[in-house]
Amino acid sequence: MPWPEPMLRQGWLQHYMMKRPAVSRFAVPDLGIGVGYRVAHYRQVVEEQPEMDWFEVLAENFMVDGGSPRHWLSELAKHYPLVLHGVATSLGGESDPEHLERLAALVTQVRPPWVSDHLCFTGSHSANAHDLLPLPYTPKVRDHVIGRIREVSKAVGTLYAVENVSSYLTWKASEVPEWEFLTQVVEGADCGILLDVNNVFVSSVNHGFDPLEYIDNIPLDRVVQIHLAGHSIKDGYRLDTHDGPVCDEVWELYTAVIERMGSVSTLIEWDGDVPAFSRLQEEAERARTLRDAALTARV
Amino acid sequence: MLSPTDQIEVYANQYRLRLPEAVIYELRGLDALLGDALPPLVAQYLNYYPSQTWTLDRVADQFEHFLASINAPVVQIDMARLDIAVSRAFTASEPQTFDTTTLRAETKLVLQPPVQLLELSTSVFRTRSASLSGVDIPELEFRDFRVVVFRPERKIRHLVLAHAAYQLLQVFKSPTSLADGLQTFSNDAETTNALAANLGDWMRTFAASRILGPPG
Repeated sequence: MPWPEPMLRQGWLQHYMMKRPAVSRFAVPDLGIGVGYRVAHYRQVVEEQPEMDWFEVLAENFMVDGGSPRHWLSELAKHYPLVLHGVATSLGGESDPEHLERLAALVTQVRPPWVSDHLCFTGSHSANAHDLLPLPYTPKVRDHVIGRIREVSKAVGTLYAVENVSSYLTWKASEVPEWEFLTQVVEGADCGILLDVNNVFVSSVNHGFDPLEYIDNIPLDRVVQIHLAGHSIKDGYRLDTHDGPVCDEVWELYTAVIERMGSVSTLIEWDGDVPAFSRLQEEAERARTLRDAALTARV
Repeated sequence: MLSPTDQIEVYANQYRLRLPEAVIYELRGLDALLGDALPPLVAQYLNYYPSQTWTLDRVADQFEHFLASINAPVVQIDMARLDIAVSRAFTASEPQTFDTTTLRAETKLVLQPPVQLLELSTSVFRTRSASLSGVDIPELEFRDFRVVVFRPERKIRHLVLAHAAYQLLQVFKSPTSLADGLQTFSNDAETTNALAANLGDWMRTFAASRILGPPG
């Protein structure tokens, strides 16, 4: 299938950089407020082209040879800026040549400004849990992850960013807090951060740390994108479910992040009980309003 | 704060929720056939065949073998095979076609990427189509069926083929000229006769349906 020349590819970087100067050291554009591209909205988004600054695409959903998924992706690429986000690279695990090859091929076609995946592992000894499993924060694991990020970055040939995950488990072997581990990894690999504000909050509740301590101790100049999402309150913990609106505490934390670092591309994730697209637009507008207020306060 | 056991249980619960859901998503025909009887089978399947791939698209790939290993009814095995064939066809590379009016004996043709050939012992394809379309499900028929699953555009289709037509398609699993393909049947009078009577119609169907096309 011939790949379309996206509408904004010609000069899109300059277009976005003129709107808001980059705050990250990587000089990537602030794409504005976007949402995840989900099956329930494929047709509507492509046919109606509703107002939305940009879309994040789950890479693995499109790492196929052809058919409907590739059709809806190529159609989307004609109208909106896209960023690829993976869930199965397993940076803490073993390299999967087929996954890497397919990811690199997709990046070559879509040419996103950056690609991201999670600071986690997804399985071990050939078994895949299809979950974002937290890592032990040790020097050995850090070095392994740095090596894997370098490997993936080289293969995809574009800026790579790692996302902090929500976690429900801590390893006795961990020697440093998560924010220090994240810092060591991204500095060692010289990569970006996809800062999931909801994940910081969920983990702060589950593990009893101050979310602002987390934010204040990571290199914010490496943050190229922010995730916001809803989560569920369970008996004794919070679960990152992406099945509802962003809660007030996470909005407050988002505001605090923007006040500290300025604006970067922000993405609303809503994966379960996916609502009408207009509801996602409302959530994006709320992010925009809070972001703008935080930027004003910052000035 | 959760106890260490409860911490692990959060992940175990997520696994027990997500993976069966992903398997069942790939087995829509079997889900329609078995209903509430499917989830216990899926739980058992995942114990024997934990996912070993990065993509959820393939988590159900071994279900047919699992069903065979527990001596499940043939209709279930057929339906699992059909479901997986549909899943593979759905995301295969784009099929090409060929111009039957310029077809020559030396023209090389090959089965197009979405094409899946299935030999079934039951009419599960009718059951599947009817149940997913929400229409009355026809009575199951038990006999040999030769079915081709294909994807001319983005929607999956299937055809039930005559024995000779199925035999002909099998020849094109790798790029083969029409002349060489037909030569395969030189000692098979029954197939040769069927081909002589129907070849034109079949080739037009295979072209229009993008079942056969030029090598990629």
